[in-house]
Amino acid sequence: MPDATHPQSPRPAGWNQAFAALPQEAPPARAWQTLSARLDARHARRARRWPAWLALAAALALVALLPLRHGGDRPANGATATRAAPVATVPRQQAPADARDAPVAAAQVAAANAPSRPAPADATSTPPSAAPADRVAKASPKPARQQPRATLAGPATEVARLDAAQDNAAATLQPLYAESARLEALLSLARDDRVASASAAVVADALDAQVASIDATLADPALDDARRLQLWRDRVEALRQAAGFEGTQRLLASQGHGDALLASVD
Amino acid sequence: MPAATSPSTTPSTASPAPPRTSFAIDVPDVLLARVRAGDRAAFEQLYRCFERPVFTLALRICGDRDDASEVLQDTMLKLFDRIDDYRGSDGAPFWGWLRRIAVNEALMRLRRDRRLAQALPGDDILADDHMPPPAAAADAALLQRALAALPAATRSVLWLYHAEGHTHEEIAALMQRTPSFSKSQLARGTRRLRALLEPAPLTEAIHA
Repeated sequence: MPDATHPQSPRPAGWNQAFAALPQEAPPARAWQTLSARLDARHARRARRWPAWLALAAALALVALLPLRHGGDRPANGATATRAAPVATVPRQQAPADARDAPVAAAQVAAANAPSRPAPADATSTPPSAAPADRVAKASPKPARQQPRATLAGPATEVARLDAAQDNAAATLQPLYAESARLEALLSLARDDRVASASAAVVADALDAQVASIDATLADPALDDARRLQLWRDRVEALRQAAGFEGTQRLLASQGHGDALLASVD
Repeated sequence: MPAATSPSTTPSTASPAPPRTSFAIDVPDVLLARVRAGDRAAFEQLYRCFERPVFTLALRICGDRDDASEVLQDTMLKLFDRIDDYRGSDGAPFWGWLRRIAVNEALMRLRRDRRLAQALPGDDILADDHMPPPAAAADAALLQRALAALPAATRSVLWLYHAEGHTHEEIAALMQRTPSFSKSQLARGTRRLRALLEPAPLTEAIHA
């Protein structure tokens, strides 16, 4: 008999009364802490998010000021360029050296913006995931290529012919050096390792690895000029892709798109 | 001072019986003002007032504590985001406003998990069951177990109708279905609930 089964509870008059008599339930004890943490995370994420107009203005300013920055950096970086690229001390190489200094200057910008990246001991030990700055500073092909040239011995005409050929090659490479430096500077400014989604980090690492692989090949002093030119073109193209990718990520983040916003907090 | 009065005082539904989720909490204007200003301590105070009603409502609809916890979180985040939308000056009780958010969040979770499609089969509308519930319905544990055994959509209709006092039209709008669906699920769900609570021989007779 049902009433005998539940002697202490009066039979409800209706379903509404039965439902209303159900006890309230308590949420998990840490529910507030979880909610508070989510609020903090959201607040931090919003604080990091650039407004779209600010991101656009920053990008335009970057494009406008980057050439000036490179032009102004060259004289001040002479000592560093000498240290990083011994060939710059050769007087006859002064004109090409300006272009070759540019990647070194970019390397300094990148190094200043990515202090946590470990510097490899030498060019051959550069890891694939090392920053472009490190790769340029440590694995730049210019010193390896120019070192044998300083000790080159032979008839004067042969030396002159080789010099002319190398000058032509340097003149061809000069725009690529400059473009590479510009892209590396842009990349170092656009990249923000604090806020990156997993997929974006994978793509960025893949592009970094591609550039590192090119740098490792460029470090070979036995490369001929044609191959070297092609590698520098590949390097510029890879950097262009990386810079474009990072710029897109920042733009998406400024517009609040989820994948670009994923950070360690979530 | 806007009051989070019991929904039973709210004349907004056309249900044959008034809403039943009865609790009344006064929410001082000054507390709402502090929450609107982003005061985290004030928000916690408001959260503490309503965490149990919101969690309970979510648990009744979702039938799962983990889901209910998520609904509580999402509801409170929405409360924090949309507190400016609430104006107590028009007489709307705070709980009525918050409850709408909670119901929507709970149904959204069911819909996202594709559980809102789980309903008792049959589209024809059965005759209303005007019999009082069985005595076993007074046993909270038995009633909760029987509710948990219902399909999610059926359980939601029963809870929204009987406990929250919504009309079939309101339920249809909330669940993005038709009023006929609500009526059908109410009739079938009530019978199933009764069968689950009745003593075994009668249950077998109903199924037979």
